[in-house]
Amino acid sequence: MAWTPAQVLAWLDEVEPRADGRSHFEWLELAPTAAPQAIQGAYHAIARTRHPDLFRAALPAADLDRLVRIYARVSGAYADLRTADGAAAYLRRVSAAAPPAATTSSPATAARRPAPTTPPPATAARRPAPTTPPPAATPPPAAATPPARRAAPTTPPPAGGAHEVDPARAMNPRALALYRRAEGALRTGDRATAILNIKMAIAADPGSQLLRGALAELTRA
Amino acid sequence: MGLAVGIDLGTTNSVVAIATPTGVEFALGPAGERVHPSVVGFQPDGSVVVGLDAKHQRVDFPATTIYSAKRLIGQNVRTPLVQLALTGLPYAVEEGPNQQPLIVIEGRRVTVPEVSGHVLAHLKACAQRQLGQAVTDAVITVPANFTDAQRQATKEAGRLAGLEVMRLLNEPTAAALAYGFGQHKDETVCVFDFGGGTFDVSLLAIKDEVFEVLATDGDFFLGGDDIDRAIAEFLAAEMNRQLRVDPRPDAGLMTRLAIAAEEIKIHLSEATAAEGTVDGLLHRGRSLSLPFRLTRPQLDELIRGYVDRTIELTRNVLTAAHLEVGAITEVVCVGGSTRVPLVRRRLAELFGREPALRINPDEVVAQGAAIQAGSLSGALYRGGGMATRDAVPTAALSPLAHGDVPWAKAAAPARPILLDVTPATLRIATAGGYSEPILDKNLPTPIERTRVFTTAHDQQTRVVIECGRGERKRFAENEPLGTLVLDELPPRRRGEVKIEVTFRVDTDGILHVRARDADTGASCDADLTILGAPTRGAA
Repeated sequence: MAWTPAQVLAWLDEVEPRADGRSHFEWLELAPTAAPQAIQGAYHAIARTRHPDLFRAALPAADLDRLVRIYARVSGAYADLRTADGAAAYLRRVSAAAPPAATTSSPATAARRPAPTTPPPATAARRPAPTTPPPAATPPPAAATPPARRAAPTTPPPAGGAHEVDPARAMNPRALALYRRAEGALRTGDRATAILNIKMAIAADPGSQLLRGALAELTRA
Repeated sequence: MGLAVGIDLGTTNSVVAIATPTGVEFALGPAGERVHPSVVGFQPDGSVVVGLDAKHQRVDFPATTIYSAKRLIGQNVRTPLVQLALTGLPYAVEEGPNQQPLIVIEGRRVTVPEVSGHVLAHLKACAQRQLGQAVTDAVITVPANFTDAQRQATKEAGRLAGLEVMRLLNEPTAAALAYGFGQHKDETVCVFDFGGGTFDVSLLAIKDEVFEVLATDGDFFLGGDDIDRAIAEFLAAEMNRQLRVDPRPDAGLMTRLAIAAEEIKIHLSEATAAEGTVDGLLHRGRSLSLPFRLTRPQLDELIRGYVDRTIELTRNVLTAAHLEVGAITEVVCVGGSTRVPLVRRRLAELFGREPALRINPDEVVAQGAAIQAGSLSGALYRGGGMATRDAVPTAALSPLAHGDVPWAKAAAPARPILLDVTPATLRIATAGGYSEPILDKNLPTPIERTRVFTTAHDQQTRVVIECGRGERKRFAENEPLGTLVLDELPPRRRGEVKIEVTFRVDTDGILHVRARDADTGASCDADLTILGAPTRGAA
């Protein structure tokens, strides 16, 4: 279903300031390890929720124009990644250039490791990981202090259930999207994907205690 | 806001439709016709007739009856293909401002958007009469391979008709929407659109109400008119042989033969031979009659080249989308020319299946446009069902005449998502007469892409960026789109100034170009002048 105009505006506020620094995978809200088959689905998911046509009547012209411009960047990323040849060429191009700051942190490197192929144990599937995170108010350890956290948007992106601690307040929206995907993966029993997405989320928001707690719990199980 | 309609503005015929809670309703013309000829007749007293009435006066007033305006809209009149198309027209065309074609009607100059505007105004009037409500907004369909200038000129035509053009929708996408909307089935469809004046073929993936164009290709100057012309040429040769009269220099005679040719073509879609007489051939004060006989195999031979071309383009588009023939789950036929048996046979041979004929090929595009118009205006709801029903000729019976239907309000709005692609590569000229692509063909739109270029000479303070459209490496072999000038660059050594060139194609498929000096941060914006585009207030 389409997002609300408020959700779209929060997303635009989030992505516009560093639009030029985003990787193709970030535009498509995917991990860099995403399978080629996942590319189209990711683009369609964004189209279903945020295609400019959906907001023709709901957004003022200026905001609609912002949305078209940002959506055009998503299309640009999809255009490069949708074929195997295109994706390979993109990865070559990116690795030749200096990698963007956002993907050089260690959790992202960890996430690039191939995911285990063994099916997840049933016990893990039964128990959603992020139920007992440290409270969001706990200050992060000094060493992990993130570079200038963004304020979470007032309206969370869709999906997800009720939590004791609202994940939308405990991490930035980019991380939240990945966190939601981890939840989804856990619901289907795919622990490997869940871990991968939590690691990606930590890369996007290294300061979130909730995420670090979730990762610890998931890898312990 | 008034009602929003969908309009298939065709080369030969146009259709206007509206999505209602019970289905798509077609607006009828004065004689009850669902399909309105895209013909505009200019009368000596200055009035204008449109549609069937105009088509009927075509034989008597060939020089003031304008048909196939779509072939000229937004075209650069100097283009060789346009010059070729002009040779077959009985009305006069000359070059106007910005190299746009102007139609000369008894000394008066009329722009092509004005002519199409008359067609659109007629369609709007038909819809208003039938629905009993003001029509203010429209989705107008265009061939997928329409250029920027053609799209802008079509929008201009809508503006002249007093319509707010919500969206220009590509015809094959509209057809796929009509075919797949509400079906809740994953499909990969081939839309084969062989209309009056243009040919388009597109492949689309339909997944859960998302309609993604995978690839598209086409030919501007290939359509049913060419089939008519091939038959007319056959008749002209017969006339020369039997009656010792060469009709080719006579616009009136050729128009009469072209009309007979269309009738013969339609007859041969059902029968295996057409036999009869073309009457009323006026030559030197005498009315001549031409007996003829044309069999279907003869017709197949006359038009084989055109049909081969459509099949070749269909193979190309499969290659472009990295798809095998077997991946196509349905073939959707659009346009009257898909009724030609040879076309059907070749399609069936290629895909190993008969094409889908669930929706009338003359109406499928307008139906899709109506669904999109309903979606964009928020008037389309789930569960309404999109089966077409016969148009209701009286306003009193139209559900729209009574305002919103209560149950429809409670339903969730239906919002099919259309993901279209760029129809051609958009490129800029580089040193040595070559070119670099900025946006490739078949990329999803809206899309933006920036490439960085640099200066070619020391102390260069000005760069001229020539933009073009086409698939050729040598710039001159592509269609020119216009020129962008970036001035007042800091004088530096060559290669030291970085110029970012950004091409952005918006949701209507219209191109916006920007050049920026990346180093100084001074953003030197410039607009593109598109050749062939209408200029406001021309003529």
